[in-house]
Amino acid sequence: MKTTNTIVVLGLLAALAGCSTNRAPEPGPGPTPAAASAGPRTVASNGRNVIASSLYTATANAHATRPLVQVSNALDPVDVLGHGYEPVETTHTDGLVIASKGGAGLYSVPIDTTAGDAYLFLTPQVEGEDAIQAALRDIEVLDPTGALINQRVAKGAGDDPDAHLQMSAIPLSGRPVGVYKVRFKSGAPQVGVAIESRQLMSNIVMKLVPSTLEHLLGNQSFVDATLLEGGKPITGATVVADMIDGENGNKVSPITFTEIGDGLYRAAIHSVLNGANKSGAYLTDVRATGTSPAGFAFARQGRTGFHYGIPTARIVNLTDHRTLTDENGLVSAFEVDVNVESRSYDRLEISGKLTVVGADGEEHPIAIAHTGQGLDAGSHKVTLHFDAGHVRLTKAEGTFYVRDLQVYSLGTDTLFHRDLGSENRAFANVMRASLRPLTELTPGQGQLVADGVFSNE
Amino acid sequence: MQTRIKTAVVALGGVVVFVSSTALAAPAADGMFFIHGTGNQATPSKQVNPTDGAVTGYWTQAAINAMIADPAGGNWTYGAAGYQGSTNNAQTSAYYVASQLHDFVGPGIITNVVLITHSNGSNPVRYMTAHPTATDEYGTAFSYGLNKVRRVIFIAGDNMGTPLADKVTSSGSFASISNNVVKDFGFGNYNSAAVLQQVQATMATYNGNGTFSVGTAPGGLSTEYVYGSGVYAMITSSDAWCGGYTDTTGLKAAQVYGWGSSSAATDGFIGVNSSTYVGTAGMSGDARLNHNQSRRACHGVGATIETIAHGAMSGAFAAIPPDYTISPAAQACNATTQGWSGNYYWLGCTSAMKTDTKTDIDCYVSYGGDNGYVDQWTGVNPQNGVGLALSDGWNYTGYSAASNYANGGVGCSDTWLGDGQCDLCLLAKYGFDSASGTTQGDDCVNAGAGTNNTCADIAWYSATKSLTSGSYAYFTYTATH
Repeated sequence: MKTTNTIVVLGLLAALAGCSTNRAPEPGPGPTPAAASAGPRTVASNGRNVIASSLYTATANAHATRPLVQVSNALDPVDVLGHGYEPVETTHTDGLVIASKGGAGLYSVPIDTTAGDAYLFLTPQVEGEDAIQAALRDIEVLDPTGALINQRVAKGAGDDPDAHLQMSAIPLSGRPVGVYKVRFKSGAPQVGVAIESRQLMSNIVMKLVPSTLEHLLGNQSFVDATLLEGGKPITGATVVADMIDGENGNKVSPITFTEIGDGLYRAAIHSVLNGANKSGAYLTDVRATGTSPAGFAFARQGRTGFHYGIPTARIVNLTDHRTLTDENGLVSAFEVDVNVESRSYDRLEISGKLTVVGADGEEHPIAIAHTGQGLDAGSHKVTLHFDAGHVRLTKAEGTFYVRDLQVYSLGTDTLFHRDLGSENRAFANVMRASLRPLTELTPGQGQLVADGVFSNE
Repeated sequence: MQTRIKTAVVALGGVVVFVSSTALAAPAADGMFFIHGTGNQATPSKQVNPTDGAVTGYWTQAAINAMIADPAGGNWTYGAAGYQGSTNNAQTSAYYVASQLHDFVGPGIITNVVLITHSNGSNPVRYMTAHPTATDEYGTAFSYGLNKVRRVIFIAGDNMGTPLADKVTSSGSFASISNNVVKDFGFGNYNSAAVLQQVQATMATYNGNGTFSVGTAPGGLSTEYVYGSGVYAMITSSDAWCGGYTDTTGLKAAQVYGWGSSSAATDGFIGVNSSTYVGTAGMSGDARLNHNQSRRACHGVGATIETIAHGAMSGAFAAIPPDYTISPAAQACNATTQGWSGNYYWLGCTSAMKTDTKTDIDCYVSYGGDNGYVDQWTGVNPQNGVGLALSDGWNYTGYSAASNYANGGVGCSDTWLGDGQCDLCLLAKYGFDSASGTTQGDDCVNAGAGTNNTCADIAWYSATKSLTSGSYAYFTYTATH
C-alpha cells in the first residue's frame, strides 16, 4: 500500500527521458547510507517474474566478450513498469487442414459460420504461377449441399487483385454452415495443399496463452488452450500441437494436451524441452477439433510461443544500495550491488530500473542502469550505477524504487532472471535540487530536451 | 573509371608521417544511417555516402537522396548498413548493424546521427537499445554508437510481427497469392530466422522477455514512427505505380484478405498496430503508402523523413568548415613538409613558403592561402590584405593544371569528391573533399591517433631522384596519425 511520501513528481508523466553515457564509477567523498526506505510497496509478479529453479552449465557464443561496461540512461516516465512483460493471450477462429502430397483424395472442413468475411483459402505448397494454377485446377470444393463453389478466374480479369485470388480464396458469405468437402480430381493431392478457413465472426474461439514468455530448463511451464462457444466451455475436444523451432521452422516434437475442465486444455512444455534443446524462440502450433455445445462441428488452429533457455546464472539478492555525493554535496549517483551466482562463463548483462509512483498509482521507470561483463562460474558482486544527472532530467522527486532487476545472457540471448521488485529497495525523499546535473548531454538526450520530454534546467 | 594515378602507396618515413597526440580537431558532423529490413543485403563498399550494397539493393539511390536532402541546400552525409537480414534474426543482425554504425560514426567524425530503419530493420536497433553493453566486432559496446544517435525513425517498423509471417511459416510458401506479396521477406525460404522472428507470437515473446526494447523512447532515444495505413491500387494513379505496380497489387490482395494485419489498417504487409507499437508518431498514417512504397520515398514520405531528421537537428545540420581552418598538424594529410621520399619529391608548404614570393600549391591546403593572403590558422595578414584569395588561388596554382596530373588531361576530377581518399587538389578547390552537393562526409578528416588517411597530392617523380629530370603527377600516400 502506498504511503503519502511516495507520491512523486513532476507536472506528470508527460515528462521526459534521456540517453546513455558510459562512465566509470564517480569519484567523490565516498558512499553515504541510503535514506531510510519509504515503507513497503510491492509489485505483483502476475507471471512476469522469471526465476530459475536450478542452474546449469552451458557454452556461450563467441560474442560473449569480457570487458566491463556500465551504462546509465534516463527513461521516459510515461511508460509503466512491467508493461508488456506478461504473456499475451491470443484468440483464434481460423481452422487448418493439411492435404499432404499423395495423401487422401477427400477432406472435410467444418465451417460453423459464414457470416462476415468468411473465406476458405487453398494454398498449394509449390512455387511458380503455372504450378500453382495447375494444383488449384485439381481441386473441387463442395459446400454442405454438394454445390461446387470454387470457380475459375474470369478471362480478362486484368489487374484486379481480387479476381486473381478467386481460385485460392473462396468467399463463404451467404453459404450454409456445415461440413465442406475438398476433393482432388486426380484422386490424391499432387502437391501439398493447406486448406485454411477464416471465420472471423464465429463465436467458437480458441484462446492460447503460455504460462511464461521465458521457459527456463528446470522450471515448470505450460501452454493453455481454452475452447469456448459464446463464453460457454467446450468439453471433449481433441487438442493437439506441434512444437516448432522458432529459428528454422523445423518441427521439434508433438505436444500432448490434457483436458483440465471448464474448457481448459493444458500442455506441459517442460516435458518436451530438455538440456539437449538449444536456446531460442519456440512456437506451438495448436489444432483443436470437436463439437460445440450448440452442436456445431468445428476446427481451430492457432499459434503461440515462448523463449527457452538453459539458465547458468541468477540473482541471489541485493547486498547494498547507496547514494554517492560529490565534493559539493550533490548526489552524483545511486548505486545498487547485486549478488549474482553463475555456473559457467557468459557475458551477462545485469540491469535494473529506478521508478517513481505516479498519480495513477502505477510505478513509472525514470532511469535504467546496465552493467555488462564476462563472468566466470562463481559468486559475483555486480554494481548498477544510476547517474543522478539522468534521474534529474526526468524532473522526478520523491522515493525512487529499485525495480525490474534482470540478468540477460548476451552469450545465449536468454533472459536468465527477472524480478520486478520483491526486495523493495528504495531511495527515499530525493529532491531534484540535490541531484548533480549532467555536464554534457548526448545527442539523444539533447533531442529529448528539445522535444520537451526532458529538462536539464 | 577514375583516371588518377594510384602509384604505390608511398611510405613517407620521416617526411610526411604525422603524429597527432592532440584531441581531434575534426569538426562536428551530422549524418543519417539507414538500416534495411528483411533480406540479405551486401555491405556497401564504403562507410560514408555509399552508392552500392543495400543502397541500391534495398533502398534505391533516388529514395536515399530524397531523404538526405538538407532543406537548407545540399545533402547530409549518410551511411547504410548491409547485413544478412533474412538468414539471421535481429539479435545476430544487431551485432553487424552496431559494427557498421561504429564504422560510420568513426572516432569523432560523425557525432550526430539519425537512424532510419525500414520494416524489420527496427528490430536490430531495438535489440541494441535494450542491450547497450553487448559488444560489436571491435569489442566495443553498442552504447558507443548509440551515444551518437540523436533520433530514431522507424519507417513501417515491424514491432509486433505480421500475420503474413504466420502464413508463410505455417501454411507453406504462400505462393498462391503472389510472390510480390512476400517480396519483403526475401525470395526463397520463408522459414528463415528473420521471417520466423516476425511471427506474431515470437515477436510478443521478444517484446516481453527483454530481448527488444519497447516504449515511447526505447533506450532513452527519441523515436518516431512513419507508416502507411492503406494500399492504393487504382491503376491510373501514380500513387499506385510508385515503387512498382505489381508489388502494389500483391499488397492490395494481402490487405483485402486480412493477411497484412490483424487490425483493419495495414500497409499490406504490416499492421498499424505493429508499426506504431514503439516510439511516438512522426506523422499520421498515410492511406496511400504501402509497405514497399514507404522505403521508396513515395507519396511524399521522403520529404517527411527529411523534415523529421531536420527537426532532430534543431533546424540545421552543422556544415563542416573548410579543412584549412584546422592546424596543419591536425589535418588529415599534413602537407607542410618538403623533400624526397623515395623517388617522390613532395612540394609541401613550410611556414616560410606561405609568405614568400612564390605561389606554393600546398600552402592552400595547409593554411588556406599563399603570398600574403590572410592565414586562416594564425589570423595574420602580413601583407595588409594584398594577396590571393583561396578561390583565386585555385586558378593560379598547379592544382588547376591538368598537365600536372598525368591522367590523360582530366586533371583534378570532381568525381573524386567523397571517394574515401583525401584529395588535396579538391581541398584547394573547395576547402573540403566531400560528395558533390554536400558539405558532409569529408574525406579529409583526421580520424585520430592510431589511424591512417589515404591522401593524394601533386608530387614530382624522378627515377633518378633529380629535380630536373622527371615529371609531375598525382600520387597517393598514407598519412599515419
